[in-house]
Amino acid sequence: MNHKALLGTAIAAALMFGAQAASACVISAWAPVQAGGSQGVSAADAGDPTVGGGPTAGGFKRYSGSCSLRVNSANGATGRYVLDSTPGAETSYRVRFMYFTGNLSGTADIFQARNSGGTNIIRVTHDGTNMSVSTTSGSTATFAVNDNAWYTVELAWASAAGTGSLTGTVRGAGSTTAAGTINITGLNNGSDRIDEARLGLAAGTPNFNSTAIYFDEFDSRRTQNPGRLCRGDAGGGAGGAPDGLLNVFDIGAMVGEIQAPTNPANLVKGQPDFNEDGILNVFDIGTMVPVIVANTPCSAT
Amino acid sequence: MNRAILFVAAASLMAVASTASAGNDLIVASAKSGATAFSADAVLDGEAVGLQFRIKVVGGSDKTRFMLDNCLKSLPKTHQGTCGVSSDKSIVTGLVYSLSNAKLPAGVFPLGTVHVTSGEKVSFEVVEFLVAGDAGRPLEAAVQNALK
Repeated sequence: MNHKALLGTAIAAALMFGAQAASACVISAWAPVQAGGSQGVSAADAGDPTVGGGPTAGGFKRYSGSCSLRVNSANGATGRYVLDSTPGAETSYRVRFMYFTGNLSGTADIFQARNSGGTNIIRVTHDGTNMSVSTTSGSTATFAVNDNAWYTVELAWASAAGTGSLTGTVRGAGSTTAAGTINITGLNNGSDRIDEARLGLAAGTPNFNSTAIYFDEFDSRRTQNPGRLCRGDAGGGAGGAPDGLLNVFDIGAMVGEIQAPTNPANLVKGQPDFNEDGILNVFDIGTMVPVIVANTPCSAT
Repeated sequence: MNRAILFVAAASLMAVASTASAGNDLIVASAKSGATAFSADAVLDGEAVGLQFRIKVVGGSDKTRFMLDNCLKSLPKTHQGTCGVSSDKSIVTGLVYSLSNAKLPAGVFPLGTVHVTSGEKVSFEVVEFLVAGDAGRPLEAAVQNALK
């Protein structure tokens, strides 16, 4: 049943970018070896903050866990993306991923969900100033995003005759307010289907201006929203895993990574970048401490 | 810290000194009457790098006022700390941490006093005490509650 396939998608994504504290970062959990598979990316495009001498010397930015996917140059019409081919003629699709904006100029397709004929059913673009989310009909949702900031993109799509929809939110840059809300409803899209997803530079030839964009924590499902991860929840659970709480354990874990960021053993397992600027430092602690002492739950951050 | 609080806290510390295990203990005491203030101290095992406590203020209202000036006033130079109140004025949280992952000294560690002014009679309840070791590792922690 297709539900299992989609559940498998989520697990594969977690293996790719998330739960790899004890192993090298890999992209092989995606579908690079089949015809029409991932394009323009290699093993070197997955990594952790310790790569290349650490965060200030070429290390990868990541949102959660150790690893992320990096794209730092265009590749003509081919693009640079990982491909998930497990969806099968889906009529309902929920997706979440984290995107680090870099300093692009020019338009990049950072996510596409396509049908078997290659038509974009869901399209997310970033032009360096705005992010846009669209589907096969209805209006395009466009809103401003900051440079060099992590954003969580959450989308829920459904096909139906007259009641199809694409809804969701984009939240990030350390703000409790959504950067954008997508609410495209009343669609007559009953014949649309989703058969694959592309994450990365799926299309476009933007100028990266000596920066990179990053992707992390892709999760897709059929019936339930994957949900946003708690920013600042660096650890605190069993074995240092994130526990959905913000407290002194998270600060302790963050300090350890700040002190020795080139030591893989110090990489936290959760989401340490509280202000979502791609850099783990004292400012993350400084902005998180008031949230802890105000007893603010993760859901309100 | 008023005399009543000092008395209760000192008595509690003595009791803990005779019963404490190798872990870390939070000792909280309130005034003998009125229950408008609580003091907090910790007895630490020398492995703690940071700690956090949350104390619920039962019976408060929007008009409840908190004096946090003497909360976490005596921290070592290796540590920073702050106390705050939740937006609904029901929880006081204290947070002590080190930006160098330095350990807090073993022994009695005074956390301070919080005074509460309210038109209602309030009481206090410890709802959380967390002690972090190196790199945020959870350490054993217990509460010695002398609150009325």
